Amino acid sequence: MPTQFSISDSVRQAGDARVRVLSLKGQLDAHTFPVLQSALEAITDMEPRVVLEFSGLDYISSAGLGVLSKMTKEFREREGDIRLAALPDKIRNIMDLLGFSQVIQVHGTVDDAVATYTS
Amino acid sequence: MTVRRSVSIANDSSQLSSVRGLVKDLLETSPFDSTWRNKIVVAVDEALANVVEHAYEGDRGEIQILLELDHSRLQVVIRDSGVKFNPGDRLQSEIDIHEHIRKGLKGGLGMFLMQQIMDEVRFTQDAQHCVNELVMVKRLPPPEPQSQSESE
Repeated sequence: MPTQFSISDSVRQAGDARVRVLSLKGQLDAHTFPVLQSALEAITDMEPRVVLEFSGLDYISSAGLGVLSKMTKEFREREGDIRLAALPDKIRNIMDLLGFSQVIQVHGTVDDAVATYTS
Repeated sequence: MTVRRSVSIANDSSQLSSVRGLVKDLLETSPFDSTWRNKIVVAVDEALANVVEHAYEGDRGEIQILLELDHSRLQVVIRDSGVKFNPGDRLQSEIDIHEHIRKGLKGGLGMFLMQQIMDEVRFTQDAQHCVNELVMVKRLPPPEPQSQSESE
């Protein structure tokens, strides 16, 4: 059975800032990571403030985490960022093995993550 | 009792999810808790994804996965007949995630995860038969000690 992965996309406002919210669903692995990478590359220059919602994500491997690493650098160079919201425990456990939450902001809800772009 | 599962797949990343399912199903019968089951699935997936990407250098090839679960441990063997893999510098006991993200690096995380999760990670090569073998072992946690009233 092929790996299932999809992204839904919305725009939110945080004060004067536009924030792009990408909600990930399915399994982010060595087969599906190009989908996320392409989605992020498409908005790098126009919407550098991003929230990734993980509540629908069942699985993440280093291929997906590598995209986060690469694209976080790209967004930060444009005075934006990638911030994460609603991580399932099993995703959080893997990210904690690498210390990702020390470097990338993780929030309980999308609303909380969007609000951090206000100031 | 030893439970064995084996499967052969093409070196195609679309096959990874089915192997994850096989590992997950086997671990359901083990004493590993759900946190460790998920981590072990990730370790096997990382190892296999590495072989899928690198072993056959763009050509088609087959990869064999053998799982063996007994009372003391899970052993995972991944075999291919591709180019010799030398983990070399990619085996690392620490990773500086601040530096990794500052530089925007994509690779290097999978091998670290395998080592963090599994108790043993060994690479061998049978040059005569052109077979590369990766063996990973995760030992089962010791059984919970029985309370005095239960043991009497």
